[in-house]
Amino acid sequence: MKHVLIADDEDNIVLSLEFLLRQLGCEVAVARDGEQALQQAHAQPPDLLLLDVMMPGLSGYDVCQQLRADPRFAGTRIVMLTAKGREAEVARGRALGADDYIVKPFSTRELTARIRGLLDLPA
Amino acid sequence: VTRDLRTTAMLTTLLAAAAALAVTALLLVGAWPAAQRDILVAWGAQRAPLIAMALLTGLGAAAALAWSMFARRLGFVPHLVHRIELLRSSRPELRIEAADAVPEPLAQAINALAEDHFALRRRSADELALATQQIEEERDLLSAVLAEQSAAVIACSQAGRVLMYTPAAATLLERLAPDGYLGLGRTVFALFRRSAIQHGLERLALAQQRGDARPAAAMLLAMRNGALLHARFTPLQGRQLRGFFLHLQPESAGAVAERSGDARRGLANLRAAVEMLRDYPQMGDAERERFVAVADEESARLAQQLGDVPDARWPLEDIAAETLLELLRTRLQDLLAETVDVGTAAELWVSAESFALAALLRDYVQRLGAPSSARWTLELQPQDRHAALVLTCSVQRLLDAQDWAVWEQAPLTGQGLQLSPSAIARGHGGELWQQRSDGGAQLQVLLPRAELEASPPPAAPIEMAAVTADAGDGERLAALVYTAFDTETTGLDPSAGDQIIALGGIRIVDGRIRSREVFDSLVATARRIDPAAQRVHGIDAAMLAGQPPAAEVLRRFRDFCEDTVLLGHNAAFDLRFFELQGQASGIAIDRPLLDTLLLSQLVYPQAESHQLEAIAERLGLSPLGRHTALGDAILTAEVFLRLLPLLAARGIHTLPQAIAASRATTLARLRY
Repeated sequence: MKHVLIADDEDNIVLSLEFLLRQLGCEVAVARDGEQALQQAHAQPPDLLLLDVMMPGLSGYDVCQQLRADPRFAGTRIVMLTAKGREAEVARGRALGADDYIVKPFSTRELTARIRGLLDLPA
Repeated sequence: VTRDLRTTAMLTTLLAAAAALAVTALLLVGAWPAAQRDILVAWGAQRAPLIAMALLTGLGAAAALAWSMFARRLGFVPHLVHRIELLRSSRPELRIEAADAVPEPLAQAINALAEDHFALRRRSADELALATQQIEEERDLLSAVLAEQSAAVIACSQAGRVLMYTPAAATLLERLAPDGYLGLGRTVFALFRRSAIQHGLERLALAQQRGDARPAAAMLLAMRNGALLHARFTPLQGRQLRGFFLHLQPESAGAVAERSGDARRGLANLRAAVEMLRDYPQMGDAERERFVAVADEESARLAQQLGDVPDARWPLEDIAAETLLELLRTRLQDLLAETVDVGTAAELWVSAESFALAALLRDYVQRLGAPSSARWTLELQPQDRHAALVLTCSVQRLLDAQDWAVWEQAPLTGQGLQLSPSAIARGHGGELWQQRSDGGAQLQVLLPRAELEASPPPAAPIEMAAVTADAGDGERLAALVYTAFDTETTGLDPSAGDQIIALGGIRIVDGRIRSREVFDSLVATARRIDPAAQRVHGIDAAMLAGQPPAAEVLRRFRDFCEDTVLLGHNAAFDLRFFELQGQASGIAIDRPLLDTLLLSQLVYPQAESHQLEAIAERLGLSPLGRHTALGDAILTAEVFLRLLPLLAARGIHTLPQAIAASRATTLARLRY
């Protein structure tokens, strides 16, 4: 079973993401800010990290940068979520080593497709 | 003169007659034989008194005859002098008449001269009046046009002095900086940061050098209190930079970006919840209710947030990469000495706010504190639709995460900008981060590429136009900008604790009193108002309730009179109050000063009174609104303008001359 970590401070999106990922048969953990995300990732390196950019404390960019600097997380796929939806952010996320980038508001079907691709899940 | 002439004539005549008689007598007597002479002497000795009398009578008769002849020929002179004086001073219609014993040709010549003189005077007065009228009509028209302008525009001389502004500019600046003063003749540096204005002017000069058809420079302009504006610089008077226009607009992009981000987040929550309901109809009732609740909550919140969301980016100027790098390098020069290598990408254009970017880079370099051995490179790397501005430090040093987080969000106040680095990146629609690379530690700022990559960048190295002068128009009294001022106080003894309760000021620009540029404020005080003082100014404690404290009024007045010469009447008195009350709050009103009390003593050394009313009356002014601070300030200004030509007649033309001459007067020794 794939392990997925969701890092987002918006309860209302976490509710949907968590539900969606469980439907896909994943094991889901939730972090409410950047610090928690790092802690939980270290406790159990996830196969996939859904990482919101705008969080209190450490931002998604910070978390991404730190994980990418640590070889233990080489196998972790990182998908960044952002509300700003500007190309400059996508470019920044990619420069820092994110595997994919999803702009809010997104289609959950589109998200599902990308997650399946990244985690090699059967369609 | 005429009395002297008359006396001299009389004496001369008498002496001449006496001498003639004596000589005649001697000649006659000298020719006679000795015997006859003896007889004559004996005869004369017997009748000496009679002979003396006869001689005197003869002399008197001769003098009277001579005098009547003189009077007939020159007696008209005193009368003529008087008539000419009258004609010159007050009765130009008067003419010299031959009947007054003035020789006809002389009278005619003087009258002709008078005709010519007055004709000339009338003509120049007419011409002056006509020219003045034309100028006033043009000015009225111009003011009317400007008053209709909805744009906020300020026209400045090259040294940054305000030549004109539209009401919209005054309104906008009043809103952003209620304490700032936009005034004719003042420099804009009183309102905006000097470095920011200079940056704009350098950019404008650059645009002109490039030969742009309509040279302009747009930038984010910081006010001295930190407020931000979008400003566009355009040249004043043709293509040579004799001065500049500042077109102003309020800044708004930051807030807009924030709002649009909020909306997107809300929409994401709503959409995901709805899609779960759509895609998983078999979910349990409890889960369904939770998703429906999310949908309700988020749609309500979105409806509330929904406003108009205009372009989230600042209106940025397109600039050649090469030019931008050159500008930034210039701004970093003092920090990085010669170690910055500028990496260029030919033909690359970006949209950028160079002043803000320079502030960002400067602050980052200062914050990083890399060793001086570090080598730096600054380059612009083109990407798809962006270009990355990359500052690389050869030493592998980055701000640690915590410092970075603080730095990124904190306004760059040290650089004179009330904007944080992340706000600057946002204003560009860009991003900002630091990362390590093989070449060293990097700060990257993502900028949008310009949509139209127009003409190629200039090939020649860029010469910056240095606009540093703020010297005004020299020291000539007539050309200076003045703030005439006056105070009302609780009493007459500042050293014993009396305090200012009213402060008024008015500006003189170009030798004219500017009735719209006034300072007028009451001042709160805890001190009792002396009844004698109150009888003079009529201000009582009730009127002072709720008025601003002295520290605030003095600070505002200091800003109001910045860049001007102070003008007071018996100003030593007021200055003592400024000094004592300013000390408490650390406010020094330190401007050059002229005192009409001392100037009046210079001009009328004999006058008994140099009180303001007395001087005003002497100069033909009627004191209106006396004994309010502003009223007295206005009267002081009027008195000063009347004194100017009188000072000039005494050879006092410049501020240093006036100050030196004032110091030498006896009244300059007054102390309070």
